[in-house]
Amino acid sequence: MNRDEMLQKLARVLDVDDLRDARSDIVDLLDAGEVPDWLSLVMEAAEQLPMPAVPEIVSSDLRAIMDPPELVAFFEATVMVDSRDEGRLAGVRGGPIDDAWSITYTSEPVDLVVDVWPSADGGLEVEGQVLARSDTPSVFRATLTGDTSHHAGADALGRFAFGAVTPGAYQLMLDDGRVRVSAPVDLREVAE
Amino acid sequence: MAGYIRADDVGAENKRLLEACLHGDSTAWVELVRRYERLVYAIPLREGLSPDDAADVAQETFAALHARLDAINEPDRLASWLMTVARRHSWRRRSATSHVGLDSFGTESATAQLPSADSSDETVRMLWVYESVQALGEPCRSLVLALFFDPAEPSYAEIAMQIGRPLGSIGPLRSRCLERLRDLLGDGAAS
Repeated sequence: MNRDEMLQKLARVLDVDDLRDARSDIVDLLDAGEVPDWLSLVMEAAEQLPMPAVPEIVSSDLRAIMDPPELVAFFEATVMVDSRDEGRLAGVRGGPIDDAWSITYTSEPVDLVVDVWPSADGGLEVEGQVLARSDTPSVFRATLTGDTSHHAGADALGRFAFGAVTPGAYQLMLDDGRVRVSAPVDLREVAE
Repeated sequence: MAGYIRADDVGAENKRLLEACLHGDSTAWVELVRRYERLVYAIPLREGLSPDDAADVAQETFAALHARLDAINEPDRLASWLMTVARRHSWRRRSATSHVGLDSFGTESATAQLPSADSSDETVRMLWVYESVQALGEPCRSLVLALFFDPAEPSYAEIAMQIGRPLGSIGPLRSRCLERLRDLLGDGAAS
């Protein structure tokens, strides 16, 4: 990275105009076309080894190496509402998947919402959110197993997503290392 | 090398953390993970592995550290040791998928000779910067890593969310963090 590239990147990442308002003396150097030695060193280090943020699910697993939590319980989630049923109750006949739907589940430790919609490639996009009842922060892994297997780590809000899922019958497993919750997920054509 | 972060400082802190881990202090382990997870996770990604494989390599690397807590003879070089182990696990994983023999990569050990790349001036400087950023403490270290090291170049709004601070506080915080980093690295950093 040459000096000009470095100056351009610094202007971008440091929001130099804002720094100017803060009267930082770094700006005086940058305005003069100079990159302080220490800042140049930081830029070179970052260029040598870019370091993306570590996903929370990965970080959680690393922290658990020393003191792995014991699995304490296994739960089956039950379907509370399947939006496809609403269409059926309204007299709409089942048919091929052509629209989005959602399934709401409940279990003792968590509630769960799964949203499904068809993607352009003929597969399905599946997004979900785990709503834990406990106040204890928890990071869930989500595994969707059926004709194909998909894995995802939930974010801090319990949201997870799977892409390009083939329609079929699946089992969704949520696991935070202490609690495991299983939920049947019917991703076949809309039930007759 | 000029500057205010010395290998002795890093070594003393790492030694303290390693010994605390050996005594079952899980908070020390969490601190070690927090200090080095970003460095370790970056290695397999740089080697071209997927995020899923990078997660596995990070797990294998820290598991190796946990298994050898009492055998880290040079705690000031813990970052280099972790980089070496992560790189070897990355090579194995990449070789496994390309059906190349695995034996030539050997196994990690606490006294592993570091590959030449790890001993280069460039890598030594990079690790010095990394340790200096770690020494900033939170929230400065997360802010500096996000500003300079994250290839996704997150926006200030995204950074604010990551570090759990109001967006309006990021500007003043950034100025303070940069001043502290300059103090740690020293004006003669490049000398």
